[in-house]
Amino acid sequence: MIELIDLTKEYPGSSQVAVDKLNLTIEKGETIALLGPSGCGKTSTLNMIVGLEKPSRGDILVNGQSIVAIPAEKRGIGLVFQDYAVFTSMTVAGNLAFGLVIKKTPKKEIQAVVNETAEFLGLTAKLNVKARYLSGSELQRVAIGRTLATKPSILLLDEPLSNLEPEARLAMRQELRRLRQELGLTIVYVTHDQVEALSLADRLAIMSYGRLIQVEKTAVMLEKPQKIQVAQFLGDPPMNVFSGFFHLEGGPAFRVGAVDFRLPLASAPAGVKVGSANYYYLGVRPEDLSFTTQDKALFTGQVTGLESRGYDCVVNLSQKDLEIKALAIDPIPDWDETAYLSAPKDKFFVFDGSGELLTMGL
Amino acid sequence: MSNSRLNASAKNQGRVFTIPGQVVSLVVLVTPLLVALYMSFTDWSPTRSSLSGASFLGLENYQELLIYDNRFLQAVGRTALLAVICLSLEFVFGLALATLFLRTFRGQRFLFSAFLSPMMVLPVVVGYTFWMLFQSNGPVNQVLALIGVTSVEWFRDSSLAFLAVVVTEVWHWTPLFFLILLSGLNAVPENPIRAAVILGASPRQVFWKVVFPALRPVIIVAFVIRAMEVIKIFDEVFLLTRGGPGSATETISLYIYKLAFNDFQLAYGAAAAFLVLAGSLLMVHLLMIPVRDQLLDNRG
Repeated sequence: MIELIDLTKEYPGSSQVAVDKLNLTIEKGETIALLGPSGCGKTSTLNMIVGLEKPSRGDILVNGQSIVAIPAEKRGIGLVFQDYAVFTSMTVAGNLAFGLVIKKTPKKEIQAVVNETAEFLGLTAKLNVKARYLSGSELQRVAIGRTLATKPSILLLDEPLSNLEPEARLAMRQELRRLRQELGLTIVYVTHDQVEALSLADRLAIMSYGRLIQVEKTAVMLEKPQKIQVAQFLGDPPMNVFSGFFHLEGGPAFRVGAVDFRLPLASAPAGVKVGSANYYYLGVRPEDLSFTTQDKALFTGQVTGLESRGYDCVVNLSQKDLEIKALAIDPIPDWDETAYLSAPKDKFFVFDGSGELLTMGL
Repeated sequence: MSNSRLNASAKNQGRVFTIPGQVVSLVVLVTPLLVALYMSFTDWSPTRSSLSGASFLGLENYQELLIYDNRFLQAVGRTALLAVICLSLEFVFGLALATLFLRTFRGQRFLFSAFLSPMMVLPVVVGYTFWMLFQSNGPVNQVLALIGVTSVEWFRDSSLAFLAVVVTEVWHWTPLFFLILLSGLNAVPENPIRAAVILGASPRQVFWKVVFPALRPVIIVAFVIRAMEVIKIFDEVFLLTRGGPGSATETISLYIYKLAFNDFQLAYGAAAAFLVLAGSLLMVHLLMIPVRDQLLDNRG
């Protein structure tokens, strides 16, 4: 079990805190993904856990014991780098054996572990090949194998799939899943790719500007984002969010500032304050929006963007400053055409002014 | 016009532009080389006859050099020894300096320029300067006198004269190793080093197992460049010792110079020069074999 307690990292000469009072408990055998945009402090967090960087403040406990003062090589934590960092002048076998050779393990034992690891990762045929002649996914497997050979209790992966081609990525994802199941390792991995995170992790920890925004089981996180940052990060494209206020004149409704967007409601949701002084955020996922006719429209706008993704098309609708994204399969509206969107009312999310989820469904 | 035809004609145009350069190199490089090669098979001496009137000896000059000319063979051995000693010292000092400069410290920029400056001094000036320094009543001996070592005759003792050449050469060319190794060290990717640290490697192990292999092509290139220079070493030795005492510091270039311009044995000297050329080509080729693939491997 890993516990991060108020973990903070500041770099000298930088005004921004890289990691800001991070509190996170990772259970034994769990796979957790640190997800967030570039520069949100994910990699710094990994580096502190593995021991490449010292925290400015806070503590890291593994099975209840602080490891901050323990040097990296004695922590029993393995790290796989984004660029693999394989020793290219060595053979695959040399790479896999590296950690054991350093620890002066008996040769026979090294041989056995190398063979076992190579077999596990499908590298047996490549054992005597110089690492510099390997493909991206092979390098990745060597990097993982080199770490696994030292039998770490915790495996950290820094953007493990981002340098791979799509096909290799898919295969590697399966590999990682198998690794987790067969070895029962605690895996922490960092990514900015949500598909990667969603497909692998038991829980997601979403970070933004060095802070932990939300930690939740993957399915729950998708279903019910507790924070607006999460809603605006997850999903492809992410959730549409508008700020506005609830009012009662002419029937209960949600109104977005200056724009002619008014969502009539049966009643204002419980717990919200009515009136233009109280701002709320209303969110709706692009996939929950559907094209409709004028009389049923909740939102009317002009098509100002079309992005075909092969199987569907992301349609950008604008009305003054307000933009909303929806998915169209067939028919796909034309540029500049006026289009009408509607969504079931239970698919709307309401966040309060500070970005906390208030309620789902209107 | 199709794209490929356009490319083909552009390529031809490119070739046309290289013609003047090729003509110049033919006249000033290839022709003299061929003349010299022919010369090396004759007994020509400018004091006796014209080249066309000289008698053709075939491989006799080469035979003489390789089997009977002890002075030549000693010069080759001496130059090789000089190369091994100088290059080893320059590598060790250069690497130490480069490692030092990987960290930032006060005055780094100034020291960087300072350490590079010897390389930029003309060999003649270096030779002359060290000749002065090593005089029997020169500064080096004055400093040695402070620690009780007196009357060291640098240029009268074979070993000391050789040492003086080594010191001069190492002072002059360590900066080149320093510069090449520093840029090599800076280009070594950081993450493999970090990976090795996590796996428990000590700084020494990190250096020998991760940094050194990555640096190997750079090191070999540095060695090749310097080895070729040492084989050609002339100015410093000429000014310091003129090859003396006796022939204790006579290098290949110096011996060939003496053959050609003291004894006017131009043909024999040419043969010696071609043997050295063949030898250095072979050496460079052999040195490059282990790293050639690594250097030519263009995969990012």
